[in-house]
Amino acid sequence: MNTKTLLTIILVNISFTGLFGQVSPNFPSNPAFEQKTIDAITKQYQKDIQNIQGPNKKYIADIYKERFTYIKEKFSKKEILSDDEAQSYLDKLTNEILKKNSVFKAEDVRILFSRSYVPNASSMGEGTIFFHIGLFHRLQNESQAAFVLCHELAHYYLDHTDNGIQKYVATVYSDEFQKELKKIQKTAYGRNNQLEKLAKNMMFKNRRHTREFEQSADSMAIELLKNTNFDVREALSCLALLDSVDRDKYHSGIQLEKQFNFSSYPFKKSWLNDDDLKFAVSKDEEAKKEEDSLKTHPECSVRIERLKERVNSFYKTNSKQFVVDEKKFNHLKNAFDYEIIKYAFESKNFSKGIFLGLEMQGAHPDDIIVRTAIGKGLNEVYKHQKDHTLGKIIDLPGPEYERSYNDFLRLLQNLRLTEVAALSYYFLAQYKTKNDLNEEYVQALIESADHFEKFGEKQDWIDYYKKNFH
Amino acid sequence: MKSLLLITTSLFCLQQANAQEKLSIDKVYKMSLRNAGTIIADEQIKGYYYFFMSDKIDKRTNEYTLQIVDANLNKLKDIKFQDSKKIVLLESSFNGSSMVFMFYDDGENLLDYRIYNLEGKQTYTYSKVLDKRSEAYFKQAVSQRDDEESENQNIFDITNKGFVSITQLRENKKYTYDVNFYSSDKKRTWTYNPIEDGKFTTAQYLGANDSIALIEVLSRDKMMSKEMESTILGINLSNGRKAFEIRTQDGKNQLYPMNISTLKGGNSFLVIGPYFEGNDRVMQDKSDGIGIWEMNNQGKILRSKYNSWAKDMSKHLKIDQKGRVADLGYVFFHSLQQTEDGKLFAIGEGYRKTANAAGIAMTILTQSYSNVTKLVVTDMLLLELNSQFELSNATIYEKNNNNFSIPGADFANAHTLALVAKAYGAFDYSYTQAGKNHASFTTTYTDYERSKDYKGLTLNSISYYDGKVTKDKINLKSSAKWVSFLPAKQGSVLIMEYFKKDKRLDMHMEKLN
Repeated sequence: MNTKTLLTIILVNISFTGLFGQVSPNFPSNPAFEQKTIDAITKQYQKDIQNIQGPNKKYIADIYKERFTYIKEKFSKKEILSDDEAQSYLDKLTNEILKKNSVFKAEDVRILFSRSYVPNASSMGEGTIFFHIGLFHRLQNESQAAFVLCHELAHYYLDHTDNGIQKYVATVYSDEFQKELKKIQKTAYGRNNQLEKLAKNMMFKNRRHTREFEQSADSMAIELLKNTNFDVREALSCLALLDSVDRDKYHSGIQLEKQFNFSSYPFKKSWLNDDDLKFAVSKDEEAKKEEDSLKTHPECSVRIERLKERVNSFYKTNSKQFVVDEKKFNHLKNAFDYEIIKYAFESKNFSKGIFLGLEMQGAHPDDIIVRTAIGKGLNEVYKHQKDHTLGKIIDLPGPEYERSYNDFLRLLQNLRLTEVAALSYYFLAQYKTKNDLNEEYVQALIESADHFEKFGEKQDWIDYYKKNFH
Repeated sequence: MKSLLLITTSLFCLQQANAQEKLSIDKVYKMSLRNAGTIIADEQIKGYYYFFMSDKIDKRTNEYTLQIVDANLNKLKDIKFQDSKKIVLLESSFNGSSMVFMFYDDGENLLDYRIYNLEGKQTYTYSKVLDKRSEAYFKQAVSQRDDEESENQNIFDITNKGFVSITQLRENKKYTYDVNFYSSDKKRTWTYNPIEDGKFTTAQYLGANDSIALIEVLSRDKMMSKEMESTILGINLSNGRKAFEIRTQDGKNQLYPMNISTLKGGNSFLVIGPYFEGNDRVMQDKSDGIGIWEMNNQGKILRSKYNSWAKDMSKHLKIDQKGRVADLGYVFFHSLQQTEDGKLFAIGEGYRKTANAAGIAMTILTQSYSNVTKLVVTDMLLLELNSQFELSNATIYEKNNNNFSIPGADFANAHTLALVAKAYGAFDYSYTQAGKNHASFTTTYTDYERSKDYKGLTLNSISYYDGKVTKDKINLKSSAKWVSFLPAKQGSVLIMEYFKKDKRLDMHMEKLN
């Protein structure tokens, strides 16, 4: 086979579906399970639609339809992790809770792993609960995972979501509210200010109810958890952990100036130039009060304080942090470190994927999977920047992000095309003498050498690839 | 008949009841965008503003919201205020510590300069009343301006000190101007009023260094006069007094300044433009080449260099006997960039006057007059000069020609026509953005391609970075209903795509390579 054909095969095969190849923890999807779950969700949706009653049936049905579409999209976007092993473990965790709490019927709930890196879990209200691996991989033990599940199950049992929908529709489409809107509509002056006031009042009420729901979900979660063999005290440690969950798991691992500094290509301080227009973020008391009123969750410290006494009274000495399978828990927790990076790339958020990789590399500098992923991510940045589609796959710096992520985004904004090629090449090249070179790594190195116009070296690596992997 | 009418009315009412939709807040809420623009500091885009009419207060008063976003499109601040329904927001500028918004109140004939600090609080307001004559002249100037989002026309930043504004005025039969300074660190303002006799005078802000603001003044005895005097005016920023006013004459050479570049850390500045030898008439004759002066704050020319078409440029470009670069024609210089490494770059665009076939045909067919000449906009030109101002390189960037004609084109020479074309945005040149410390810059221009691989608008760039000049191109055609772009921070462009079916406007920032 000639070099050109081989190179084509190598470059075509570089994709993020095959990013981690067979070497890394792998979670193959289970299409049959996914279809079965979608069928169950669809059946539930149809049942819910049939059961709607009252004068606002149409509006509630519209919201249910939106919810149904939202859930189905998670499957079409490959966000659901349907691997047998992981799903089986999650089912076992859940069953530990369900078998000790007869208020639930196992067939009514569908608990699924989402591959999202966002540290969150959510109950959709119709029986589907998503447990993000971005949260799971932060937890310390099964009891904490069980508390998260109990909290979401509590939302479902207490019908918070559907109550919220009913309340919203009943408010917005009530005669009183409609009369108020019509009155405002006829006003010639000050119309928008009146509408803003109305919307704000509604939102404050809504958010207050949401915080009340969170409080009652916490409370019921303790009641559910105490019936199991899990350590109920881990509910408090889980909440304490959630307080810092906005910072990534390996947030202290990132050191851009070190990770992108090479003897042949030193780091340039100008890459981190920040010329952005800034406004002082000073809020007056009124604004702070408003911000507090719009929060959906009470502060973690408040939540802990409310539950502390009951938790301590419910604690059983024979309860355990791990009940189902400690080894499996730790295996998944570690494997999800890679999976969140993989999914970030698959969902075309390359800036997040590379960033998560750089953070992890700081903690695990010898991890070939992570460094290959970073190199491949940078290769993708090069290609998209060249094609002027980079803006579609990376985030722009923004106040909602952590400082370190903003620094990285700024770096991406300031890099010229040749600098991207150089960084990718030198980053990968620093590992080329190691003994653990795998196929993906060599593919990435070939591509980066091509971008950086190191054609002689590229040919050497193609020959290496031919000899060792083809 | 009566009973039929009753039935019809009942049916109508029934239909109305069925068709009556429930209201929602977003359906009732109405806000209209008045205009949007860029916030510029030191010739760099730092952000954008959106000026909304957010509510009606009474018959004469509206509530406005000025939304400020940074260069990454993050919303920074909403500034709400109430004002006359006749106000218009013209321009904005940022000087590193304060922002100014220049409003015009059509009801009061008032120019209002509102200064905000970085907390979004209004610190100072300065107002300037225009009399009726000046108002008409001002409005005319504003309507004709090149509405480039990246270049201010009236208000300019003086780092951490304030803002300079030039207003074109009409005093009896004189067309004149004044220069105003509005301080941002304390309440202080000065006005410079030129003393001119019976002249038609226009002024253009060239730039400023730490102590002097530089204005180019063009004077004619009459509006249609072909004789024009060009001077550079230096105004002391601390007190508004004239530091110097010199005719742009250096021995036998007259310079027609098109652009300046201030030299950082020093008191001198560079002036570039076409030069004319002896008594050549600036607006009439062809230029003899490109001249560069280094001047100090006293208006003294410290050094000068003249790169002639015939001798110097011809080493790099093909020049004909009329001083035109072959195929390029005459050159209009849009921007001058002095980079951190001491090099100088002049970005120009070619143009020439040519016969307008359609105009000629119309003249013959209708036996009445139509424009028989037009301006053809040709290729881009990049001149590179070393720290001695000697031409070291000249590169032509080819693009498809564009035609431009306006009434009266036959009676204007190519140079005058080019100025009008610039004012109307007829050139393909879009903008130039410098990077931090002027270590780099990016120039953009558009082109319409008609090749077998691609037919549509393209956005092209010429960038200088790390000692190298690179070129890049973005094809703007996509599956969207329409595609447009806005200038963005240096090295980037903001592309907007509207997908009609989805009623979605996608905006993404793309880097130019």
